[in-house]
Amino acid sequence: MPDTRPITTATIESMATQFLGLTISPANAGATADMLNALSADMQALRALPLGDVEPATTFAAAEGQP
Amino acid sequence: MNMPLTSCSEITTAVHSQQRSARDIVDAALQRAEKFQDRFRAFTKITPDIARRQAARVDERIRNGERLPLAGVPFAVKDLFDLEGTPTTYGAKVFANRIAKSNATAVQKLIDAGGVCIGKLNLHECAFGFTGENPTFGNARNPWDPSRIAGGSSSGSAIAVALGICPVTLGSDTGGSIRQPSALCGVTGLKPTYGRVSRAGGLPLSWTMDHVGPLTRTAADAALVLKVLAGTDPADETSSRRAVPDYPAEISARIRGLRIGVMHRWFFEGLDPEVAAAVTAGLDKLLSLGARQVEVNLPLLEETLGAHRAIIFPEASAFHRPFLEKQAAEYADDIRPLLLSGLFMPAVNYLDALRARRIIRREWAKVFETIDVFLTPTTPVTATPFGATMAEVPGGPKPLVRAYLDLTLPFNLTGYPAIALPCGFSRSGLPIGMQLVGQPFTESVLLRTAHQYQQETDWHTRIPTVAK
Repeated sequence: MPDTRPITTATIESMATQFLGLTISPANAGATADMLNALSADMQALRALPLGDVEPATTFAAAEGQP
Repeated sequence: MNMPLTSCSEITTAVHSQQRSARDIVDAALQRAEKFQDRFRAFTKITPDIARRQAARVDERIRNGERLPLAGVPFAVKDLFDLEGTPTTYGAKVFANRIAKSNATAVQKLIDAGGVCIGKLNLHECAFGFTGENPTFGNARNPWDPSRIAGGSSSGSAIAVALGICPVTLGSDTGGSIRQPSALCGVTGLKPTYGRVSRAGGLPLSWTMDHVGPLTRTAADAALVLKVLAGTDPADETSSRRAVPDYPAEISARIRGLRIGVMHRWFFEGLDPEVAAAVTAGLDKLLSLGARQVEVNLPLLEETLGAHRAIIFPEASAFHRPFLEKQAAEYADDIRPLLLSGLFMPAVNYLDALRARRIIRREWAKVFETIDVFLTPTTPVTATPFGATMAEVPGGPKPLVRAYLDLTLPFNLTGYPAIALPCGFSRSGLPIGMQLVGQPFTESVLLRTAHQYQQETDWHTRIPTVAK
């Protein structure tokens, strides 16, 4: 079973500071944590999909206007 | 000319024959726009000066003998597309002072074709929602019942067509934002294949899943407008270089032998019984025209939902990050947590979603080889009252975000073209929509199917009482 401990407000606050250089209010951090906890559930099936050696479908081209 | 029902071709015929001037027609459209604005909040800004200047130019071009595919056709655009000299607000306080220096490619194409832009249309803030509730510009209200949502995020785009303000509007669709409001307001909305219409000059929600397309009363008008909008654009690297078909010429062919895919699991589960009955009757109508039904199974739908979320959130947040750093408080309360959330999602999730996208595309292509059109309801329920968070469906209440988007957003992840069209009304007088989805770049098939259906039915000609 995966660890289902929820993402907390404190986690969001410290990640905002350390990874993003962003100051986030406790209220916004709380709302963000709630949203991420909900989104996490929606991604269970995606995490279980065997991806093998498939590359991501990016659209980058080395030259502008490359066909 | 019965303005609420006037088609693009009727307008262009009248303007080309100089029975009516573009200026006359645009004045009538502006009058209707002003008349309904306080009650329905379709617009963020009505632009009479720009419209009259453009109309005068159209009349001049007609006098000079030009033939224009949209001569004098009034249109309006979702307020995330640039219209030179006006604010592109994104429906948000944060962008209120962002004045466009040029026109979005799609807007310019409509103007070059003789269209006349009468204004910018209201939307769910930053296109990141599906109700049309907007604290800055007022809640967009459903023309069939103003106590209910119009849907979104292209809320004003659907309202303006439903009220007969103009026969064409421009919308964008990242999870259903053209199709869902079209269904809830009783109009026709086309999300073309990803890459078919340039995204340049439109503010992004999700670069890899945003689609630009028209909302119209009829599929015939959608065909006319798509022919104008489609085509490659150096300003959008993802725009396709494929030749643009003559969509209007291709919609008249019959649909005998057309293979219509239907999947009961997921797409026909948990429907409001009135929606189920209307969509089934729509399918039956198409079968009576010679189409045949094929049962199919689209795999990986739960994975599609997860991948959509893993892409849309980080892409939206990447665009909004500079504004979140300085103006977070100015975003609407329902939008801010969405945009902040994407900042914290692991990059690996995003890349895995892009990998899953390839797998889903490959698996779906196999299914779509066996059908020409995939038919679903557009939404499982009709328009809900403002403030609702759950949809009442058989099997128990369902979060509105799942109810309203689960049937449409899979086709944003895969980039498949899809059209929503009216197929009935509830007993309480609310529109019901069905969705037709095709293989990439088969808009002709979708438009033809929708047009043949609309030749046999009158749902698309119904007008809210207030608009008559």
